[in-house]
Order: sequence, then structure tokens, then C-alpha cells
Amino acid sequence: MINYKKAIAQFGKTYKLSGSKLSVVVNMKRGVSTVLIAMVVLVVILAAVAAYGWLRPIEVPAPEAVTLEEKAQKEGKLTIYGVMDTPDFVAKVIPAFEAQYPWAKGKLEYVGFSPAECSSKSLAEYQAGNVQADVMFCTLGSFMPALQGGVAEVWTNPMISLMNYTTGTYDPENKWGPGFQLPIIVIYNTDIVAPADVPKTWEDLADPKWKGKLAVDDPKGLNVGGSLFAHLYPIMGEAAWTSLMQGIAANNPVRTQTAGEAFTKVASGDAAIGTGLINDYLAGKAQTPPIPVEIAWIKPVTSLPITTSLAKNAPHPNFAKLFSMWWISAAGQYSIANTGRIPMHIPIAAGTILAGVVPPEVTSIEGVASNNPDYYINPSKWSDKFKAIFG
Amino acid sequence: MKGSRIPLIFSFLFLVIFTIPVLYLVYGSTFFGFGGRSAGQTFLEIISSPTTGSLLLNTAIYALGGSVLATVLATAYAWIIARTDVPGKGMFRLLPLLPLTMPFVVKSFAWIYLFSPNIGLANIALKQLFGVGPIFNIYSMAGMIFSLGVGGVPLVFLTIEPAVKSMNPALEEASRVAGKGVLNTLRKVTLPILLPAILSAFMLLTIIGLENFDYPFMLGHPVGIDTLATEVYFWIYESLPPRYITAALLSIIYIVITVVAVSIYIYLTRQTYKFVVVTGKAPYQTVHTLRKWKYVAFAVCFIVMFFAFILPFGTLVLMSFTPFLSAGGGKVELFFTLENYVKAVNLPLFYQAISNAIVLGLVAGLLGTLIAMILSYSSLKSKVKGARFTEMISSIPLAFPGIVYGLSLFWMFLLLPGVSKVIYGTIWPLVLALIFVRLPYCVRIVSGSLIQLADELEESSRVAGASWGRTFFRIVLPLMKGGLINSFLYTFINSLRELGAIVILSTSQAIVLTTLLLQLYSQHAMALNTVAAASVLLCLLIMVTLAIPELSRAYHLRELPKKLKHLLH
Repeated sequence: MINYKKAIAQFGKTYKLSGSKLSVVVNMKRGVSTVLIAMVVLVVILAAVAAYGWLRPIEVPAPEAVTLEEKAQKEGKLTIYGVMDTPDFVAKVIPAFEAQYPWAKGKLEYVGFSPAECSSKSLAEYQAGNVQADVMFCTLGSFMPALQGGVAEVWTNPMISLMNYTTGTYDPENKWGPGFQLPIIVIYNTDIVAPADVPKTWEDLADPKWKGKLAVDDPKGLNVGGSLFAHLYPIMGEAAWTSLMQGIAANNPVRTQTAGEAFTKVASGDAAIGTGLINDYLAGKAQTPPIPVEIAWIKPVTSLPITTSLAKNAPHPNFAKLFSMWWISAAGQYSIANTGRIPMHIPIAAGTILAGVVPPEVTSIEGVASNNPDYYINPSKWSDKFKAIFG
Repeated sequence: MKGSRIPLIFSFLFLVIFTIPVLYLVYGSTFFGFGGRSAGQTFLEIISSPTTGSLLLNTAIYALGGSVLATVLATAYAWIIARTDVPGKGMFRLLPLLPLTMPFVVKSFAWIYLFSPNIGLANIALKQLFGVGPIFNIYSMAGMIFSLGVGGVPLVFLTIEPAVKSMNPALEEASRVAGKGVLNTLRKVTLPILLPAILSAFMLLTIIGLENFDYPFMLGHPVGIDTLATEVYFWIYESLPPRYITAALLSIIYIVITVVAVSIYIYLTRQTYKFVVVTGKAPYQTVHTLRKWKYVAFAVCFIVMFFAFILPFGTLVLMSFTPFLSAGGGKVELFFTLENYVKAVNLPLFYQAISNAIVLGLVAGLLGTLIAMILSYSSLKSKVKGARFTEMISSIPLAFPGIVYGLSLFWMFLLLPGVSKVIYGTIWPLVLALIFVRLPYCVRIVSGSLIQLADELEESSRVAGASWGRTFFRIVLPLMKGGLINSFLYTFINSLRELGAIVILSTSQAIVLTTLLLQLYSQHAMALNTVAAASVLLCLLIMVTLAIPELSRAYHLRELPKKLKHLLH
């Protein structure tokens, strides 16, 4: 048995422990240097781990995740309402989640909606006391009436701080958190629009030469068209904005249910110009032959936030939390990037999908309607405003 | 005698089950839909809004316009087939079944591919060949009327043709003997005789037009031409926050209009039955000899079927084998690819949508036919006082537009205590929607076979000591087998075609092919050709379903096991 007091007293001497099954020789002089070296190595390792954790954020905090995972596993099923195309979510996101949680195979049920449908359905089910969805991710503007109706659980997702999400990508009141973002673009069909005719300002969209040739998702649905136009309101002022809106309405734009449908209209040549989302553009460019569509980068360039909420009275709350944590972790955000959408986590977004797409003259991408709080506070007022203008 | 009350009780039970969702519509919409406004205030807003006037006008123009076009085309077609010596009669008699294999939503895709002003193949061809255009614009009221008109030809034809065939030829012959020509006889004798049948077919299609959601949603809404059906949908799914009270009040106005139309239809149908000249079977038929005009008649029939089926289906097939191409330059080069079919069958929910559609069709077909059989029997054969009331009951769903009844069921299954947790989100609300929406038609099909059974058959069985149940199952049921099979097939096929009644009820678990196609079209960028491929597969599924009974009849497949056994021995 080692007598530590003696050992300390004889610090620097060589001790031979005998009469013990364990024979240890401790050279305390060498011991000091060994300990110091070990400490330095340890510090270096810890620093490396910390740096690694900072660069590649920690996936899930260990002690809580284990408990949460067990609880989620017991719940056995997760229903997600979202606005991502079903094929993309099923083919790219679910397999990534199942790779990390093999027990979850076949347990995720995804329902794809248009943003307005997602909002309406979530709200109706919550009000009727028959909540079906556990997690909802939807365009923030469209989802605001549902949030105001109380559909979301107040919950602080620990990954928000662990991943250093920037302010503005999550709700300070914790009703919604990050998801992904979709830069809004003005697109034109290169077979129809001559380079000289490419719109350069927002006012160009009201030019009568685009009569019947413009496609935009229905602004009153507060999705891409609605939020983009709401962003322009504080910049232009009431009179100029109303004049622009009336000019666009006078061009009889083809109003679609979703931005994807508007993009299809332009890509197929059914419309000459339109509003769209960058993920559709990237997918179209990857086709063989690539689609004849290009982007008119009209400033300010904005980005549509798709935010994530946990359903209040969710049937599977722990599974919902586990998914929400994974969704904004590095793995979840990379799976979003794989669908061609822009992760909400800026470093991941910058390193993946946005690299080389945005031209140098576009120095910033603003959150759409971030300059117009009234749009998010009074969504029904804006929906009515657009209905009055566009019908 | 006690047993014979069972169908009547069942009919009242049906009425109760039908009414519950309607009550939930009112409850759900008013309870959750006020949003700070009273029902009265909202109603005043609706009534005073100029939008409501244009909605009513659009709905009426669309329904009446489409119905007029279909009635004119189908009447001409039926008369040529039944009363003239046009070549290819056999083929032309079968062809009207084929358009029934194309759901309206699928046909609207085809019309977009063909007649869209910018990418429509017809417009591009005209521009390339003659340098003119675009001439056609499917995104217009005219486009919607055209779609409903040619889409409604088969239904109107199938309604009118029996009347044309069974018309007493003596009156026409008298006219010809008196020196009148074919056209004069047609105008002065044939058409007046057939008028009740034509009017009832016209009203039937008008009702379908009033309630139709598919064409206005696909072709009218994108350019701001809305009807009551699309407006109800958009107050729920495009208005933020959703305005259920507005949707419900609009639904009530909607129902009032359809009730008027249905009442006229029922009145006209009764008149048809009373018209002894067009009922019963004529001993022989007069065939007008058209001589050189028979080629014109052939051309007319061919053109009608060309637009009703050959052109839209051919376009879908063409698009399904073509990669996504932009027609922006006013020209399009077609390439061959199977990629769209690969994409279609690899869609994540494709097989679930197919299996759901088949299960839905089978269950709705069986239950719908069962209910139709009971209601028809109560109406036509029961001697109990008030039995005729069941005929009225069976017609009630006709006055409920699919979208409105879908909304009613949505609220019922969302709110019904105990049941909602289990059933909401599954395919069972869709089954119920399909049964109710199709029931009036099933009742008419089954009644058609039941009305031919003389009461003496049942009376003889009862006199011989058989119970009511034994008489029903041994005598009545086998004799009305044909009507029951037709009713089942009708419901099954229309379940595969339906969109309006189920669009609000559809979820990921309860997705069917039509809703999957709509979702793909509206949410997935550049999926036009995949939509075409999936649409062709849906049409083929319906064609196979239609062909099975015909093949069974033609090749006596029921005898097949016996034949195999014989061969083995």
C-alpha cells in the first residue's frame, strides 16, 4: 500500500514498493516532468477538442441526448409538417437522420404543404384540440397567424447556443427556431428575354411589356411574393409602393400556389420573368440540358426564412425535440444543403451551397421583411392588402 | 312485413349520418372562424362585396357554358351513332368510355401542355407553321368552358343515348313519309321528343359544372378567374389567417344554388320517366341513310372523340416521354426518354398513393353500392308508408359540392370526440366523402336495374312462404346483379378520378394519386413531365379496371377454373 504522506515527504527520492503484488517504481523527479508534460499534452488536446468543437459544433450534448433519445425511442413516431418538397425531404433529410439514429428508420412521417396550407392546417388542428404534427417548419410570414394562434410550444433548443446561431435566426421568445433560408431571386427565361430587357430595378416589373408574362406565387399567401413586396414597402414608401404594386397587378401576373410552380412557369417558357427561390435555380442548372433561366440580381437581395417550431400538445414531444436538435446541428444543416437549400447556419451555408453562386456585387442578403415588423405582427392585414390589389 | 321496414330505417340512419358533418361544418366554422367578426357581419360583407357577384357569374357562365357545349356535341354524337348509317358505329359506341379514364385534373394538365398561350404545343405548332399566334389560351373562361364541355361529352352521351335508341321510330317515319328531310325530321320531330332527356342530361352536367373544382382551380385561378368552389378552398388555404366563417357562409350560398339546380334536374328526370314515348323498348330502329353525308357524320364523330380523348391522352403520352424542355423560344424539339416514368415510380409516396387509391375505391365502391341498393329498394319496392321519401334522401348529396362536403367532414373528424384521434388523418374520411358524393349516381344506376323487376316475383316468393330476407337474397339480389356491378365500377373508377371532395381531407397517410399529382404539379419545380408520366399510369390503372369486367364477359373467365380442371384431367 502506498503511503502518500511519505511519498510526498520523500519527494524526489526513488521508492521501491516491496511486499506488494504491484511493484511500482516511481521516480518523482522524472515524475514532475512527466506530469508537466502530461498536463501540457492534456491542455493541447483539450484546446484542440475545444477548437474542433468550435469549428465543427458538437452534435448533441451527451447526457441529455441519451435520455432524450431513449424517451424519443419509446414514443416511436414523429409527424412533421413542412414546406420542403416531399421527394427532397424523403430522399435527403430522412436518410441523414436515420443514419444518426438507426432505430428511427421508418418512424418519420413527413407531410409537405404549401406555406399557407401548413399554417392553416396546424392552426385548425390546434384549435380543435387534435394536434397531429410534432414539428412544423414553415415560411415565417405564412406561419405567423398560426404562431399568434398559439400552435407553438415555448422551448429553448440547446443547439441554438451550441451552434452559435446568430440573433434574428431564432425567436427571443423561443416559439420558433432556425430551419433554413431561401434567397429570393428574380428569374428570367433567356430564350424569351433579351439581355437589354432584363429587369434591373423593382419598378421594371411594372413595365407593361411584361403583361401576361410575369409569374409570382400568390402574394396574399405571404410566401415569396408577399414577403418580398412587404420588404420593399419601407424602402419605397406608401405612394411609390402602391403604384408599383398596382403596376404589377395591371400586368395580370400568373399567380401560383407556390414559388416552385412560378419557377416552373418561367423555366418552361410559360412566363418570361418571375420570382423564385435559389434552390430551384440550382436544381434546374444541374439538369441536362440545363434550363434556360438566369437570375436578375435586383437589390436588395433578400432571403426567405423557414423556421421550425415544436407543436404545443405534440403527440410525440421528445421525438420532436430530438429531431429539432438534430435539424439545426451540423448533420441536419448539411442534409438541408444536400437538398439545394441554404442552411440557416451561416458558416455551413457559406461553405456549401452559396459558394460561387452569389455574385461579388451582392454584398449582403437581408432577411426578407426584416425591415417591416408590421408584416410579421399583422399578417392578416398584409394578406388583405395584397388581396385588395391582386384579387 | 316487419322486415320490410329495415331498409326504411336504414335510409333514415343514412340521413342522420349525412347530416352530422353538415352540422359540424356550421359548428366548426362559427366556433373557430369568427376572428373578431360576427357571422352576420361577415354575411353582409359577402353579400355587399362585388367579388361575390363576379364569383356567382363566373360559376354560372362556366357551368352553363360547359353544359351547353357538351349537350350539343353529345346529342349530335348520340343521334349519329344511334340513328344513322355512319361508318364505324361499333367503334364510336365504345370510344366514349375512354375519356372516362382521364380524371379532370389530369385532363387539365393535358390542356395546359396543348393550349397554354406560351408553351402550348398547338400554339407553338401554329407559330412554326404559319407564323401566327398564340391563338389559344386555356387560362381563360373560354378555356374552362371548352374543358368542361369536351370533358362532359361521355357523360351526356351515356345519358342521352338510351333515350335516342329507345325512341319510337313511328313518329320519325311519319315525318319522312310526309316528305320531310332528315334534318327537318330531326329538328321538328326527334329533338322535341328527346327534349326532356336532353334537358335532364344538360342539368346533370350543369350540376357537375357548378360543383367542379379541378378545372377552375387549374385553369381559372392562376389568372384570377375564380368560382365558388375555388373561393371556398382559398378562404381556407390561401387566406391568412384562414377564414372558416367566410368559407362556410359561401358554402351555404353555394348549396342554395346547387339545390335549385338539383330540384330542376329531379323535376326534369321525373318528366322523362312520364314521357312514354322515350321509355320502353322499341321493336325496331329506323336508320337514316346519309349517303355522301355519312363521311361528314364520321368526321363529326371523330372530331368529338378526338378532342374528348385522343388529343389530351396523346399529349400526355408525348409529354411523358419527353425531358423537361423550355418552349420559351417559340419552338420545341422533342426527344425520347423514359426518365419521367423512372422518376414517377420512384416518387416517395407513389406506391402509397396507388394502394390508398385502390383500397379507397374498393371500400367506397362496396359500401356505396350497398347503401345505394338499400335506398333504391326502399324507394321502389317497399310498401311502407313514406318509402318514397328515401328517393329524396338519396338525392340530397347531389346538392352538396364535393369541396363543401369535404370541408364538413374535415371539421367532423377533427372535432368528433373519441373518433377524431383514431380516424382523422387516415383514408376513412375520404371513403365517407366519396360514398356520399357518388351516392346519388349509384342510386340511379341500381334503381335502373331494380325498376325492371316486376313485383310479382317477390310476391310469388312470399306466397310460397319465404321470408323477406330469403326473398331478397334469393330472388331480388341475383336479378339486380348487373346494376350492382355497374354501381361498384362507377364508384371505384370515380374514386380514382376524384379531387374536389378529398383535397381538403388529404394528408400524407391519406394521399391518393390525384392529390399526389396536384401536389407535385404545384410544389415541385420542373416536374411537368413527371406529372405527365404519373398521369398516364393513373389513366392506365383506370383503363385496366374498366377492361376487366369486359374481358371477363368476353372470355367467360368465370368458367376458367372449370376449364383448367377439365384440362388437367
